[in-house]
Amino acid sequence: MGCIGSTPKNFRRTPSFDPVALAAETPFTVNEVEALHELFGKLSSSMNDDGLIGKDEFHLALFRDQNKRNLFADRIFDLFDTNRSGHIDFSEFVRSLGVFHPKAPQADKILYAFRLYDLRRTGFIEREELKEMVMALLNESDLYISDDMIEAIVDKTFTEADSKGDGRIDHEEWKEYVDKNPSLLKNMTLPHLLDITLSFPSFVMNSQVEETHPTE
Amino acid sequence: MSIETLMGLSWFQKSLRPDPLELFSGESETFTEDHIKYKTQMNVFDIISMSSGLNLSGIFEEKIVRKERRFTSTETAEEIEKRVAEVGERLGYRSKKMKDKENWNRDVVGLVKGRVMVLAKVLEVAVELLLVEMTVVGGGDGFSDVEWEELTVGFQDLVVSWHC
Repeated sequence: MGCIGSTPKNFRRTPSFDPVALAAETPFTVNEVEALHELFGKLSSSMNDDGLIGKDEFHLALFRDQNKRNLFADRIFDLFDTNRSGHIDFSEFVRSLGVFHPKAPQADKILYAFRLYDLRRTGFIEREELKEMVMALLNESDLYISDDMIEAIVDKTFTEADSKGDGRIDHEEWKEYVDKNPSLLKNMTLPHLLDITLSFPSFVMNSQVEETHPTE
Repeated sequence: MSIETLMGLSWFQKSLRPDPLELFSGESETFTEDHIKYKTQMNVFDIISMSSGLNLSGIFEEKIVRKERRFTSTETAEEIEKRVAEVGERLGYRSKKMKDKENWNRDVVGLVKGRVMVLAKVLEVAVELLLVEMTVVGGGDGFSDVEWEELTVGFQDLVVSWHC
């Protein structure tokens, strides 16, 4: 286990983590995981110092506004929070960000986006969910399009994507659709993740990699 | 707009009559009518992707430097393209018409100054509602608010609203 007692103050409240294990399971290097830990420390202590990112802290990080409510941010939060605890802990943070890494496998990004849009978690993207998401976007952007127009746009996309014609989009149909429309995945890659050690340097003395014997 | 009007639009009619060549070409609609050569129609997922809730870069950025800004407009694509080029040239950019190779070679306006290039892509959200996506290429992380302001103040009258 890591030795929290011997590391500088900003690590005090965060539970110990295993950067080597996290690096092995994601596209990040050990140094990058440590840099992410610095970032996580900042985000998780912005409103309360419990070592976890709560919903308000998440909104604060994304929008600089902890009260902003957004359907898509909520979906992202839910996908990060894999154990449905209502908070994002560090390993959930790293694992989800790993999918957004430029070197993460396309298949992972495709699946993540599919689950993002599957609002009710049925395993399918239903037409109503598609419409709900468009309405949410229009609302968020103060854009007005008539309901007829919205129906027409949703219909068109839905018929293109629902190749089996069963009234819902399954993961396979989604994969085919993304293949033809690769721009749909552009939100699933964050180039920032390549520079993470520059933006959030963690000093050598913090590095847990060099510890071979935990001090008790 | 009424359903009848919608049904009369060429792109909508095209979508109702599957073209065997299109089904296998893997491409979205590429319009041949000259008056809309700058526009590429967005599908629902493209529209949804515009949400700020799906843009996680805010987590990483301290100062607001943005590579991309988007605005909606009810002007024609040609008018937008003309104005962006005019404003760019006044600010010392060279304007170029370019082809977006990753997106069906659609036309894109490029403003070039030294190593920096700003691209303006016009997309169709719905009939008469265009989305203009401006991206900074080669300018480091992007433009500061002041730099964006300097560029966009010249065509602010074309803008319905800004989205990021």
